[in-house]
Amino acid sequence: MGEIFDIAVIGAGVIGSAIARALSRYAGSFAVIERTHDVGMGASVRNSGVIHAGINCIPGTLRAEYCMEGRALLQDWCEELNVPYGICGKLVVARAEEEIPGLERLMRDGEANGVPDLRIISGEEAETIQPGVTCVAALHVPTSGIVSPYALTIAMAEDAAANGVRFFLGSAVSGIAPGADGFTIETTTGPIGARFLVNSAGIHAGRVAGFLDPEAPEIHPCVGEYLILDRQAGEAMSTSIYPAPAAANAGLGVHITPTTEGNILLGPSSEYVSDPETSCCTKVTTDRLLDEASVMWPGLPRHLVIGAYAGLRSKLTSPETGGFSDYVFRRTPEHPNAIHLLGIESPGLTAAPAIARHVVDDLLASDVGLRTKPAGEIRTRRWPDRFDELPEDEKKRLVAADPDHGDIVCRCEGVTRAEILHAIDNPLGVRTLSGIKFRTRASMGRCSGGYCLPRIVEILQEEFGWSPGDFQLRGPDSPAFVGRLLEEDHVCAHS
Amino acid sequence: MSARTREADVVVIGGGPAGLASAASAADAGAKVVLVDRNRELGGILNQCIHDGFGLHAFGEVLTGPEFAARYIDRAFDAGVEVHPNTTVAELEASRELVCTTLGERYPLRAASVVLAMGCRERTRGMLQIPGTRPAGVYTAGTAQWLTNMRNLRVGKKILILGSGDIGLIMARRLTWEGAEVVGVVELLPYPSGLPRNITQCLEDYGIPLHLSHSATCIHGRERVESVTVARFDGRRQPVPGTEFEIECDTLLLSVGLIPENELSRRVGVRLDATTSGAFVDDRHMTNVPGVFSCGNVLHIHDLADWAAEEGARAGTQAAAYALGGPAKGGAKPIRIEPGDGIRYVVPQTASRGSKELLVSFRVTAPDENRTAEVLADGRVLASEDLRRAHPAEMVQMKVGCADGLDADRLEVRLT
Repeated sequence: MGEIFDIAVIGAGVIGSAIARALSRYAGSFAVIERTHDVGMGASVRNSGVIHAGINCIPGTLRAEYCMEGRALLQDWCEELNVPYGICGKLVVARAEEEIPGLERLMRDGEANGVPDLRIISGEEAETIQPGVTCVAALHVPTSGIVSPYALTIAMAEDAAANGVRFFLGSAVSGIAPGADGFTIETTTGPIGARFLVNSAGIHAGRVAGFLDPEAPEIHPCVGEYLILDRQAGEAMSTSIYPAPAAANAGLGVHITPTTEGNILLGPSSEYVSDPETSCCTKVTTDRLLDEASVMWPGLPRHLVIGAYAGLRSKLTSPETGGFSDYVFRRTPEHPNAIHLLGIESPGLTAAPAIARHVVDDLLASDVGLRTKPAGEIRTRRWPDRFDELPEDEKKRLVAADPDHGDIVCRCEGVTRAEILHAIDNPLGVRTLSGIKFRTRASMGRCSGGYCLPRIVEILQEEFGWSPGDFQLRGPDSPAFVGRLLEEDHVCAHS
Repeated sequence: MSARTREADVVVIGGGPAGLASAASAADAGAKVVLVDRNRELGGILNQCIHDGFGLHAFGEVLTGPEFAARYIDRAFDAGVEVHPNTTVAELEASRELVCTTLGERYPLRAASVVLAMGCRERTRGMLQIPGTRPAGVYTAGTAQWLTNMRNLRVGKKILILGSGDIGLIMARRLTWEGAEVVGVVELLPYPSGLPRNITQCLEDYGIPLHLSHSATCIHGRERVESVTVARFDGRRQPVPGTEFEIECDTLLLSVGLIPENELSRRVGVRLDATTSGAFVDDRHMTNVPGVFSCGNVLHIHDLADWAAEEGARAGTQAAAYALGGPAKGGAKPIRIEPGDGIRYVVPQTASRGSKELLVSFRVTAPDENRTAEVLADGRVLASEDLRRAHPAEMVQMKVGCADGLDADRLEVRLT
C-alpha cells in the first residue's frame, strides 16, 4: 500500500481542483487523483465559460444555492488567482411572442433566487445593448458573466499544488477497498491510501461511487458540442445571448457567448451518449449550431469558425427524463468518510468554489482534524498576465527585464517565449503540448498551431533536449511523433 | 542589437522570396532598406522546401528551396539591405511607424514606405470543420514538412493526405522516401489543386492513389488518429450517402489551401479583396494606405516562388520610388481591373491612367483546354494570349503594352 493521505480527492476537474485549493489552506496531507495527464481535461474546459447569474435554477435547490454563493466566491477567487473574468451581462431572447412567458418564468425564478436588476425589455432595447441581436423581447441579466474555464481550473490546481496538495495525474481509479482506517484507492499507477475520500469524478463519479456503494445512481453523459469563432468576430459581441428555454427545467439551448480572450463560442448541443470515450463533433450538429445561432444573430460570420470541441455533461437525469436534476452530495452510513458529488452539471463552473467550501465544511465537521494554516504559510500562485494584453510600456519593461518576452512564439495569440517557458515550469509537472496550450493559449488562435507548434518543438528540443517520444498531445497514449528520421539530430550552426 | 537602424526609407516585412527580392530591388534603387523577418534564418518557407523545382523561370536552373533562397539572400546583402532577423513586427501604423520585438529588445522603426511580404498560412481542420474526435496526428502539410525537414521528426507511419495542394503532394513523396506508407490523397474537387507536374512526380511515380471528388467526413481515434472516414462528394460539395469508406492511418495531413497572412495589414486599415484574401493594390503594388505596398503570397497565393520573387522585386522598386520621390502625383482616377468570364481573380485590382505597360496576374476558375485569355479596355481587346491548357492551380501572367498610355473606364480579363 502506498502513501496514506488525510483526504484524497478523485477527479481534478473544476470541482476537484476547487476542493484541492480550499483544502490547501489547511494543514494536512491531501491527494488529488486524476485519470488524465492534466487537470480540467473533461467538461471543465469544454463548456461555455459562463458565470451564471442564477436565473436558470429552480429556487430552493442546491443548484440555486451554490450558484448564488459560488458566483460571488468565484469572482473573489478570480481576483486572488488573477484569472480572467468579466461581468458582461446576458440577454435571453424571445424569438417569437409565445416565448415571452418563458422569459417571465426565468425572471420569477431568478428573483426568487435573489438575482438583482432583472428586466424584460423590448427587442429594440435589446439591440441597443447588443447590436445585431434579433428578437421580439429579451430578459436582460446584467449580473451574468464570463470566466476562462481552463485558466480557472488550472490556476486553482496549481495554487493547490504550490501549497502542498499532491496531484497524481495519469492515475485512473480501478477500485476502492475500505479498511479499518480509511480506504485503499487502487489506481493504474499504484494504490493510494486515504482516511477520507471525496469523489468529484464528473462523468465517472457514478462508477467511482459504485466501488463503495452499489446503490449509487448512474451518471448519464450528455455531449455538448461547441464552435469557436476567431477573435476578429469577437469585436462585434460583448454580451451573452441565450434563447428563451423551450420548457420549464429544460436545457439552456444553443447560445452565443463571448470569451474572456475575445473569441465567441456557439453551443452547446445536447445529446446523450452511451460511450463517453467517443465524444466527437459531427457535421449535423455543427450545421445546427450555426443555424440556431444565426436566428438570434443574423450577422453571424460563419466563415470565422476556427475550431470546435465537445464536452460531456454529468447528468443524473436519464435520456428519457431529460432536464436538470439537483446536485447530490452522497454519504452512506456504511462509509460516512466518503463524500460522492454526483450530477454536478451546469452551473457547476459557477458553483465550484461554493461546492468546495461546503465539502470542506463537511470535512471540518468530521474527525479529519483539519487545522487552518497560518496565513504566513500560504503563498498564492497567481495565473500569469497575458503579455499580449499588457500596455506597450509594460511590454517594454518586461522585455527589458526578461529578454525571452521579446520573442513572439505564437503570433495569433501573441504568446512569448518567456510565457512558454513559464508554462512548462508548472507545479503539477504537466509536460504535454495540450498543457502548454491551455496555460498560454499558444495554438488556440486562428492558425491552430501551424506557426507556433514548430517553435515550441524547437524550444523543447533545444532547451530541454526532448526526444521525439517526449512530445505528447495529452499524454503517453497521444504521441505527437513516431521517431526520428536520422539517428542523430543534425545541429545546424546559426549565423 | 543596439546597432539596429531605427529609421529607413523602406521597411520590408518578411524575408521569404518576395520580401528578399523586394528589399534587394528597393536597395538597388538607392533606398536605405531594413528587412524585418521573424525567423532566425532568411528564406521563409523555402528553407523547408528541400526538393527541387525552384528557379526555372528566374534563373533557368533547377534549384532546391534553400539554393533558390540563397540567391536572393546574397542579392539582398550585396545591395546593402540591413536585416533584422528573429524579429516580429508587433505594431504597424498607417504613418509607417512600427514596433519591432526580438529577444531582449522591443524597439520602434520608422520608414517612408513599407512593403508587406508576410506570406501565408495554411487552412486548418478547424476552418474546414472536419467532424470527429480530436486526436494527435493531425497536421497541416507545411507544418509536417517543417517538422520533418528541419527538426528530424517523423510525424507518422501511415499517412492519409486531405487535399491535393502542392505541399501535400510534395510531402506524399517525401514521407514515402522516408519509409512511411502514404495510403492516399483525397481531394474534394473533381480535379487536383496542385500542379500537374507534382501529380506525376509525387503521386503517380509512387503509386499513391488520388481520390478525386472525395473528402473526409469523420476523424477517428481518441488519443492518436486511428482512421478517417472518406466519402464521395457531389457537385454541391455534399457527401453522397452510402459512398463512405474507412481508411486506416495514424496521421492525417491537411493540404487544403493557403490564406494570405494579413492580420498586420488589416490592423493598419489595408482594404482586402474577398477573393484573394490579399490587399487591393494598384499597378505599383501599393495598397489603399499610402506608402504601404504588398507582394508575394500575402497579396495572393502564387504557384511558384519564382513569381513571388519577381512580384516582390517590382513592389520593392515602387516602394523605393515612393520613399525617395515622395507621394506620386495623385489626380487621375485609377482604372478598375475586373475578372470576367472564366477568371477567378486579377491582381492588381487597379491600373494607373496613362501607364505604358501593365502586368496582370490571374487564375482561371476551372480546368480547360485551348482557350484564349483577353485583356479588354471598355470592351476593346488590348492583349490576348492562347492558353493550350488552363488550370486553376497555375497562375497566368500577361503583359499589356499600350504605347499611347492606358485610358479606359474599366479593364477586364476574360477567357474566351
